[in-house]
Amino acid sequence: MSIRAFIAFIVLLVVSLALLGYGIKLGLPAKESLDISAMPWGILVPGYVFFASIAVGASIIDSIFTIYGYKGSSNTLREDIKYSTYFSLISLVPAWTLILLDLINPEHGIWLIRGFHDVSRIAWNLVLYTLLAITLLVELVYLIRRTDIDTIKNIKKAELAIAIAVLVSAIALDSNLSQAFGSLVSVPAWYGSHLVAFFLASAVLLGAAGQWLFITIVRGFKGTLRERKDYYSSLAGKMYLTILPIFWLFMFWDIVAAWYHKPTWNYYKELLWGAHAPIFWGIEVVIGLIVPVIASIVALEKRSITAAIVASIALLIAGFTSKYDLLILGQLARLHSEGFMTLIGSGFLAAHNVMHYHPATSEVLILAGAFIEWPMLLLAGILALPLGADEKPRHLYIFK
Amino acid sequence: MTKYSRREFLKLSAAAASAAALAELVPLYKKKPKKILRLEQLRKTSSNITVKKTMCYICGQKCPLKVYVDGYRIVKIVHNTIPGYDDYFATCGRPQTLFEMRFVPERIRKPLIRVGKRGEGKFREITWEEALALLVKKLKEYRPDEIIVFAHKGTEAGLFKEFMKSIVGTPNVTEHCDTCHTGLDISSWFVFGKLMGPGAFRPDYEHAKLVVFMGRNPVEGIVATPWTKSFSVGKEDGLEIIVFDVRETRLTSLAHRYYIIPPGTDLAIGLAIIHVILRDKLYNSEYLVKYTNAPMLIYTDTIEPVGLRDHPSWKGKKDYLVYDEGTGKITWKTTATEPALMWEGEYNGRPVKTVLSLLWDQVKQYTPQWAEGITGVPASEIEYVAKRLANQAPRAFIDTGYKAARYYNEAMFFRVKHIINALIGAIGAKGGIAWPYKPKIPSPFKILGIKGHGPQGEPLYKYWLDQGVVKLVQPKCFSHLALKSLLEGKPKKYKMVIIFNENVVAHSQGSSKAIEALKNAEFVVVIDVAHNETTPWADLVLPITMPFEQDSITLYTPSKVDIGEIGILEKVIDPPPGIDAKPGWWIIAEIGKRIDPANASKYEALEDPRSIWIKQAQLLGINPKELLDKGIVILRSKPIYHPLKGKYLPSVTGEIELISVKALQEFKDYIGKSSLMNPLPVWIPPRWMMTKQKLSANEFIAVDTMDQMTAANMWIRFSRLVVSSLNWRKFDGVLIHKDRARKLGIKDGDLVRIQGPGGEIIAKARLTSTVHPLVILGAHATNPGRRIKLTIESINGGTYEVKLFSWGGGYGTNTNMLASFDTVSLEEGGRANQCDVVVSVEKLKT
Amino acid sequence: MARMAMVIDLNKCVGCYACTIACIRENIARQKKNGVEMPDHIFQYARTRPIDFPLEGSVRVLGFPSNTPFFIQCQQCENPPCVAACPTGASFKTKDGVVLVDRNKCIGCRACMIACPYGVRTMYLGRLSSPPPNPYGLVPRYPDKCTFCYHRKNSPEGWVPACVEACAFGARIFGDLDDPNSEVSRIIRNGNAVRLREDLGTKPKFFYILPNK
Ligand code: SF4
Ligand code: SF4
Ligand code: SF4
Ligand code: SF4
Repeated sequence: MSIRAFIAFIVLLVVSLALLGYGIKLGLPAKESLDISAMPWGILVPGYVFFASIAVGASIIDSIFTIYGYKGSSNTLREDIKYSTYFSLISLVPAWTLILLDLINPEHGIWLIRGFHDVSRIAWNLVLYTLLAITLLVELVYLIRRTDIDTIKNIKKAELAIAIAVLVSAIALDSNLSQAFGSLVSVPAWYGSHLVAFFLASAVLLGAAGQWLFITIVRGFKGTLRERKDYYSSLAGKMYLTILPIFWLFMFWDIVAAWYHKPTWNYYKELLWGAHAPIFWGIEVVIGLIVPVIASIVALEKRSITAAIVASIALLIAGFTSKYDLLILGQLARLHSEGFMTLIGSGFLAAHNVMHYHPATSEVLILAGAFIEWPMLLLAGILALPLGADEKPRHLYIFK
Repeated sequence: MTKYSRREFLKLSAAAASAAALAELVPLYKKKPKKILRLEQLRKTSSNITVKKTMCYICGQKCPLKVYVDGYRIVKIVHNTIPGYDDYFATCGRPQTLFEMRFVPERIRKPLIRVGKRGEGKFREITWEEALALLVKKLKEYRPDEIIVFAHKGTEAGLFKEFMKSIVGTPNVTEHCDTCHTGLDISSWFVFGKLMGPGAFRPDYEHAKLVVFMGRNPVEGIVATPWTKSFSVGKEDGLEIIVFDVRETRLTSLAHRYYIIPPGTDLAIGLAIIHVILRDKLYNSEYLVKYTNAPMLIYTDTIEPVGLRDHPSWKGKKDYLVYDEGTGKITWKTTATEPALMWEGEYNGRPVKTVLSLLWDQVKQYTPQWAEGITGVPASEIEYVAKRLANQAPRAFIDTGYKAARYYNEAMFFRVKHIINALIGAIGAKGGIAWPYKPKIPSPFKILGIKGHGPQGEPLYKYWLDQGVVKLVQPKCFSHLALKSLLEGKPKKYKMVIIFNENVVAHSQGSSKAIEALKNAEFVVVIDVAHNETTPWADLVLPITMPFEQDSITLYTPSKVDIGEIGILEKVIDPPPGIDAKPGWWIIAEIGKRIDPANASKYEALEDPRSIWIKQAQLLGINPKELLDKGIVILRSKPIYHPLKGKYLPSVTGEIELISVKALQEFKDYIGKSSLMNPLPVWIPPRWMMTKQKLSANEFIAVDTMDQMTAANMWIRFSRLVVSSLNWRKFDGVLIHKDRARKLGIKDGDLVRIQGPGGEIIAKARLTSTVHPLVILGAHATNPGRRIKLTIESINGGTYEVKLFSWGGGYGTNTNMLASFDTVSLEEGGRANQCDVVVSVEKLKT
Repeated sequence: MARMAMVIDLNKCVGCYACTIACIRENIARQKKNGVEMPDHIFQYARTRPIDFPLEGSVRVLGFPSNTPFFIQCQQCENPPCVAACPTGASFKTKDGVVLVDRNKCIGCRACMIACPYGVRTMYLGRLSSPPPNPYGLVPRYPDKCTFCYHRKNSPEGWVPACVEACAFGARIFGDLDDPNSEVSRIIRNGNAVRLREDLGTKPKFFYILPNK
């Protein structure tokens, strides 16, 4: 790999660490006290869910391909398998960064283990993350150590078993993650088991887009994209056109169901035609549905990589927005319903218009740091690990 | 004095036993090792706790308290009660703020002398020695009748007033009640024959079945806790509540029915209630015959009593002619068997009728439909209220009320309330308006034998009475007239003003004129705990202690004393470091020694309050030890339940007078006029209604209300806790009806300029649908008008600044700043019309 | 075992705020020789907060079945969602049925704050230089809520929470539901006490007696 890539890695590393470090140093100032009491979870939480969803979604897609033995035309996907596994694994890191830095007292973190509380969804998240990370790591090591990628006819049993393990832990994790929110009777917008389906659909969509984008970029740099252009553009088109309707069906379903439940409806009212409507219609609907549908069709019909890239980026942007809306606006809507705001802030919050959430500076910095951390780590993997189909494990690494 | 260390030790050992188990669970302050901290803290917080028995003087009520202190820490405050008589005691949230309130940054730290121009706010700290020397020099320089004293009730203010009157000799000593309850006092004069304030009545909520509140809110008012307690006990027993107010409050939320009416129109409802009661003969006939002058015969041509003679058994009271239905003859009431209530006939060839008939003639016009036209309350509802009152009587009444200086017509309104209560037989009844028992505590001066020459010359209000400007005056309360005299230099030029625990600028109707008035004096002294709107205009400022920081000079009864409570006000805690404040009595003693050296030793004795308590207790027949132990004792077991307060009333007839005989003699000319002096109840519109037919889009009536945390004009309004409480419930500004605000482009939290005839204030708009659209309303004295900042040269070198409302707030209201100086009922001695002011409101451009 | 509970009789409560301020003094404010240290907007952190500014028209806070002002504070749920959400066991229920936060275990994830359907938990992020007034008092950066004044549990004067003690109107009653002779048990037996959001299944041990109307 070129020296330019190495420099890029160093720059990303420094910027990311600087942002995170400064964000940590600033911390949450006293003036956020009222807001944190009214709205305990800020923007780092949707950020965390966003990355976790990508990791989970990418793992699910990978595993499904593996399990069904789908290798793409001319074994394309088999060639990408190490990249995509690495992608799934590494996307967990910004997720952890965000959730860890969101803790007010991370120094007591040991109690997550010592005090493991079996009815807490959050406690289980930790277990399932560990499980997913371990299975992904096993999968990656396994794939790197294997050398006969092009010769093998059938996928080996071991690989199949690993893929199933990844799939199960990914689904378990995402279901549990969704229930960290969905089990809270206190937030009407979240409460309910429907959130599992909603989270899974959204994760697969995000995982697909993220993973696809990553591999396309890698191939672009390596110069191996052109030859597989048709395949990749139609793959993206097909994936998105399959998952999008599922995701939106759940969304629509939830809206209809909410109609009959006033507190939940408060949330959708705010989302559909309240102050947040421009974000919903502009980003979630236009960028998250219309643009990707059109771009996917173009990608499919015209075999256009550009259109597929547009669709993927649009999905990532809309995906983040959708998490933001659900988690932030969900909390705001709670404040608005049943005079809830009066319980916490009464006149003060009303006067200070907490209805519009503003992230603290430290939160913005940390979020940005995590977002930069992501390509930095991906780049690191490309630089340091034998992820290419043709790369052999090197001496330096444990993989030999 | 109670020590807790031993018991706490036991507690500690108990804690230690379970320490192992607890260690993990007990949430601790994390910076320090946990176990050590826990033990340390218990040791620290539990040693040397002493219990002080005192009374809270924040609002003036003097609620009995027990304060647990440990060094500089207030451990807890609980109300001090006498078991079995708990219904007569309570304390509210205000004294709970003591631990924080005593540190308000507005406190005066040292005696100050003005160095800048008046009002500029530049002062220099001086020593007490210098300050006292200057004060004494000035007291000697001016003639006593050139001095005016404004003194609130606050601790020692009573003694200070007595000192100024009898020793220094100024006849001009006044309080601020003409901006508070004077309207009630005057209404009582018309019905009971004497000026009687709020403390003269005990609304017996506890035993009542129905109370109608108009112009009164016992749960958010001040100086009211015993009433509030009784109210709360009554409420628990199912007391029915009907409320008329200009806004929704906690009281309306407890009410069975409530009506939001335009400000100052309750008089119309009251008159209509009398109409219904008389029309349907719902009054208590037996009661009216026995205890009121309802059967008194009046000549209808001259409106004079037909005959008065000395009462055969009531000393100094009059007997009168009635029509005896038993014999069909006109005879003296004391001899009649069946005096007629409603009767018209002839006597000596002249038409005569009873007082009750005359009253009916007078209120015939005031139908419920008529009142509906003024107040918007449906006539059927007014009928309901009247009938319900009659129905539940005598355990039903209209609350006597407290503050009666809001609207021009208020004294008439309060009179009408008294009349209604009399008609249904509620006055003196159990569950009606009972009479409290108020013991008289001998003055410390009397006990120490300190005597002076008494006032030198006539009090200034005499002049205004002689001029005919003023018809009736509350001789204790003529602060408006005092300012008028200062302004106009009549009857003479007044040279020195002493303000003791009052806030003349903030409490006077037309604050800017109050400032002018002070400027006309040559020397102004302010003696107070904290800086306020008045201190910038003073020449000399002396800091006194907060009531909790000193033994009081005398025993006290709570203001609203029902069963003869007597209590002590014990020092709880030292003033905070850096506050060189002295008790009021110390200042009096020091001045006394200097101007009256012959009696120096007696003044010296003033500096030992406890020995005075003991002598006072002995004179009252109380065991001093019991008093000191308990902090509070009672002299009776219940209030007085008798329509005429046990014997007979101060009125001419000794009875409750539906139409005052004295008023018929003195104010006959006003009959037929829409006047406060009319001896007959009559409709008088509030001032705003007289000046404006219709308010324009940006015009409102500025109303201020009492609040459960602030107390009028006191330093407590500067406390962080109080500022936060107002902010918490969106009462840190002025409430505006949201529909009207929207039309003016005002949003919640916006700053608005409120412009009144006498000045303007900047306030924070709080939008709500819970106020009458006509009013703009906030908590009293929560706006200083101009932002006040004082620069003070420290005695140790350097300067420091003091800002009013330094912990925030100050964007509420003070209608006194908005009203013009003449927004008063001058005929009642300048009684204020504080909420009867039309103002215009605009959004402040930022 | 005990199940400590509190009742507010809204007939007796006059809204004097003595309880709120006593709670601030007892659990939050740091009294020093020359001043008091406490968070700004202190009412926000009071563990019992009045819900009584003019309630607008039809707004029913948490569906409170009356338009009467009331107090919100930890409802001491028997089935507390805050405890269920807490990953570390920092939020826990004592043997007396009081929900507390063990700060040594708390990672500050705020799950408990969001999980509480009554919005009672607050978190102050500013600095306070001295330790809390009692071991269960407010400490910055930890979730905070009513503890039923747990530090007074072993007090020689009996377990009387500060707010109950400060209420001169007898509107607050505290006791053990497991003791059939306690006043709270008697009141609950009378059957006219209500709880907030019973539909959620949280089983609060905080009761309100609605005003007679
Ligand atoms: S102290 Fe008692 S009366 Fe006062 S607000 Fe609190 S509960 Fe109500
Ligand atoms: S009220 Fe909230 S904080 Fe209190 S126990 Fe219930 S859920 Fe937990
Ligand atoms: S903030 Fe602390 S007490 Fe609350 S859920 Fe998280 S770890 Fe538990
Ligand atoms: S029980 Fe204690 S902690 Fe809870 S509200 Fe009352 S005073 Fe505050």
